[in-house]
Amino acid sequence: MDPINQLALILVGLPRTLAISILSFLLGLAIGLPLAFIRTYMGKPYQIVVDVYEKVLRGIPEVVLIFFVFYGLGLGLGFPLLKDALTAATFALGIRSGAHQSQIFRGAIRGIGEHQMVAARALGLSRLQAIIYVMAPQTFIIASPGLGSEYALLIKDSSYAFIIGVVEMMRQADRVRAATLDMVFPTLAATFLYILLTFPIATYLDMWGSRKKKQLGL
Amino acid sequence: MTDVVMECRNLWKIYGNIIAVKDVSLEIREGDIKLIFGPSGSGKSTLLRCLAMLTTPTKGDVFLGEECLTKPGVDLNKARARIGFVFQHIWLFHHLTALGNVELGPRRTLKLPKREARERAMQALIEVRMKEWTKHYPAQLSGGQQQRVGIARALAMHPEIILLDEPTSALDPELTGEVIDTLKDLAKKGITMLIVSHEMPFAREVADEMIFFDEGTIIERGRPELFFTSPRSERAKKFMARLIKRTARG
Amino acid sequence: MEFLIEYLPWILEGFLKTVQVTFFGIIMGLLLGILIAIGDLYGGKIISTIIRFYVEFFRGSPLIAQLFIFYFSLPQILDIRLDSFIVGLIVFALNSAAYQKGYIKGALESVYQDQMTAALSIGLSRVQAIVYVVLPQAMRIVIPAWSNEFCSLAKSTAALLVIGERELAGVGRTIASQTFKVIETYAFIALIYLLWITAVMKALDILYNKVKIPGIEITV
Repeated sequence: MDPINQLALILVGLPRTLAISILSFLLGLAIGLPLAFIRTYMGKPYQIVVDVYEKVLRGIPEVVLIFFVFYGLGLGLGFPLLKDALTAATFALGIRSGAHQSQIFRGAIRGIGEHQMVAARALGLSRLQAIIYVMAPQTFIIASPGLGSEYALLIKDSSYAFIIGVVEMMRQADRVRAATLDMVFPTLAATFLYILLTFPIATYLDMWGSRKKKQLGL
Repeated sequence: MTDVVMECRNLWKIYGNIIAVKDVSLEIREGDIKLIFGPSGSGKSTLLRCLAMLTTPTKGDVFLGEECLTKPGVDLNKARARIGFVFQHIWLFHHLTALGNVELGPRRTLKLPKREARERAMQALIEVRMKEWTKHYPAQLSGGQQQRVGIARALAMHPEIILLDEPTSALDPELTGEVIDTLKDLAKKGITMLIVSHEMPFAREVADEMIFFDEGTIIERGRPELFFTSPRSERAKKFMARLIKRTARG
Repeated sequence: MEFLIEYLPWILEGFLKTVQVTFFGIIMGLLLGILIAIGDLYGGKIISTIIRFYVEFFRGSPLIAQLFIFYFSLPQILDIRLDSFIVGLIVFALNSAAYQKGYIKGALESVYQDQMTAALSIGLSRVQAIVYVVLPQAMRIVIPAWSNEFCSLAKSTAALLVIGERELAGVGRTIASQTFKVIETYAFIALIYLLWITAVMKALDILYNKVKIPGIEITV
């Protein structure tokens, strides 16, 4: 099989690689952003819950988490969505990303400072309104480099789905290897594809973030 | 007899071992321009924050018009919409343009429709003479310009009173002029203001009453001329003497 | 949970392997990371570019891919066979070094300028300055980030199961497939990871507080 065909076969896995990364990132965002605000502005019991969530999900290897979700919750206990390997992997990576993003956003909120909140309250905005219209937009801007590397991390970690049989890029590379007995090209090709996916995004978001921050004096 | 716009009775604020505000009672009537001054750390800022209920008083009551704000169950957000506040460090919202900053309150707190909120904001910005800078971000404005936007932000809410916490203290000396001029304009228009400040010339020109504050209480109060000619209390005398010496030298 | 008792020896073995790879990786990663950071700062354009490629490669590609390259590709090119454990040691050391270089370089840069000048002014040579003045300060700054790196590394060792190495996660998968008690097994394995990682991070935290120099603190 010539290199072009090998590459094409590997790229068959690209859509799933992207699907896993993007969807788990969004799930992480949906979990992490609220958690960060809850942790910053609500009382002790809430803080403890968020801390436990973060600690547990950051202390377990991705591989074990994916196994637990897919083999345990999905196939074992029969949770509907989690029976499918792709969804299970996305879900597992997503809830872990939520723990990461919660920390990223928290750092950003701290970086903005109390005074923006006070100024917003002085205008009569409720806490929720202050969060939506004043804190959150700035939080995003400050968090963008961190979010960029979180996304790059998810693209790389999507490869763990390979272990439970999802047909993403790593698995495709494996198939090509098995078919051609070439241990070098498919692996390197897949590796460089990943680098191509992670490098520009991380760099671009970094640049955009720094520029916006300077523009707004953050 | 004009209406009382804002009042505090027997107000106390205690942080742990520190008594920041000690049994202060004060009333401000419509059209009043009162200036609070005194040594740093005397609790003036804390008093202002308590009045705006940005900090909860430890004891005592705060009244906005007829409404008691220190009662439990009061909608503080609504109350704060009626009180304008200008901060020493300005604290404009970094991510919004000048216009955006001034619109936010009318739009989200007062829930005005977009066009009306924008009109109000433009009006306020014109009043503080920042009409050409509406599309600028705070980081692109000088300190004086930022503070003027800060004043516009408070004005756009059409508040019953504006509280100003050392509006010029954080600014470079050359920039204070524009802010003071703005405040003079507002005074002429009859806006009720309670200002914490050290700007003595301004106080002399504009304030109805000056209040000397030290160690958490009101030591002396009276018309400006009183303080500039013969303050009654020893402490006020000493403070004024130091202040005048300082301004004479600088 | 009692069924796990008969598998305890396996679990222990797997855990030992995990711990070994982790510690080797993090420590080698630190030493290599220091070298690379210094090389990047003072080595000149060419070395910097090479380092840049090295770092981008290890930071931009999945761990599994890196393991495959060293387990399958390299041996085919060089016509040798590498033991999966050795591959694990090599890959994690190189991988960790790529990440550690980042914050070590940051710490060195933040300490370097003034301290170097001061050191030179009392007659120390450049090398002495680095060894006696810059590094001691930089190392303290680095500890919080290092503790994060440890956490990442300790978790990623689980990936070793793709090249057949019997570390903790791999053992877990075998037990689960044999006993069908999936949830209990993985929960137990996860717990072991959680406990040992948290324990080490706590120890690092204590260490950090012991060696902290007042006035030099860094917010991560």
